[in-house]
Amino acid sequence: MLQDKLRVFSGGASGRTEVTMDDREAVRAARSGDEEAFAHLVRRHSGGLHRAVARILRDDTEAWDVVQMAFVRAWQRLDRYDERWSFATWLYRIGTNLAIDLLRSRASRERAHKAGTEHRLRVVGEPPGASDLADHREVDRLLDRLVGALTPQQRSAFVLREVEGMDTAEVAEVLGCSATTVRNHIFQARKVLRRELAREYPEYLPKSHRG
Amino acid sequence: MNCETFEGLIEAYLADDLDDLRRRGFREHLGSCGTCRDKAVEADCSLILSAAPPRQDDAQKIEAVTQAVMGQIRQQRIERRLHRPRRRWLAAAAMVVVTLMGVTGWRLLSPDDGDDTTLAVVEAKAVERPAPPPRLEVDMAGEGVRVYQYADDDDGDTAVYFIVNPAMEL
Repeated sequence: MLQDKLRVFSGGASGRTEVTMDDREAVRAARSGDEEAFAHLVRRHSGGLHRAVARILRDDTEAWDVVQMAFVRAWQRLDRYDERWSFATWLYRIGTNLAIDLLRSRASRERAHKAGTEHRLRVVGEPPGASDLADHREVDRLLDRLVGALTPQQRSAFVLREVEGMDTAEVAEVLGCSATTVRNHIFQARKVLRRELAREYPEYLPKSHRG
Repeated sequence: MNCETFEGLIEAYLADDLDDLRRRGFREHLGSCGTCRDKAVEADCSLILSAAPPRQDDAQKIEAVTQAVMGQIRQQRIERRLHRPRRRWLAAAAMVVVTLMGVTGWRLLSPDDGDDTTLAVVEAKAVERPAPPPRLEVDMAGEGVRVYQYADDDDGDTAVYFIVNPAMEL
């Protein structure tokens, strides 16, 4: 378990090793007061962090605020960063926790309902079917609408693993839980999403599932 | 990854049984092949959401956030620098005040050591305490009565009169 938690990412094919090593060098420089090195880290990771946080919060503007807060907090706690971890994972952990806190503190049900109504008004005419869906980014809006039905933990796990493409161990590190818990969150999330999809958007289901 | 391999991996993907490399290949194929996406959705309709296209990074926003973050960090550094000397100055001033109060208190409470100031205060109080001398004394001959008037110099309105039987005078 400990080994899993302190894993150093080494996905050779994706060149991730090189990136994380550069991150560590930048962190070392930033620790000794090099602001430009930290700015380099912000430029490199803010886009990815924003994508994940925006999916979790379903709000682009709030997501940028969270990204900013996450980097400032990372700077303040730079001495606590353990180099055996990936900097990105550590940063995503800070950002995701901030997003989850925000999610818990705000009442977004009404907004979610409103967004859902608007979406349903747009979906008219011939059902597009799964094969066309990803091509015209309708799936992006569909995802945005449906993740609202998930709990903050389920939502974070699903977004990080299924949308951002992190593996289960990385998601476990970000969320501060075990890989088994992440799998459970994903399993529950899929269950809820299947139900919501069938209830609200049956036109997107395969013909055999429409009944 | 070809379509045949993809189809054989759908169940393994859902069960989280794929290694990192095959998982990435599966996701890439899911996003790019419409036919295989239909098959995957047939197996589990929630897989349609795993095929969400990656959002494009907004370079301008990223630069704006970078500037905002660095601005905030510099601001915090400046604030820390401004606070440090003030804290030291305040600490030094507090130490001086405490020392002065301690010395003064000790000197006031000390009973001897030939402190002139303390003695002068005590002597002055001792001088002020005795009652003022009688200002007026009337001996009413034949009546056997003496009248004394006591009055303070600072308070002309106050007067105390005693009528004393001379036989009883101490």
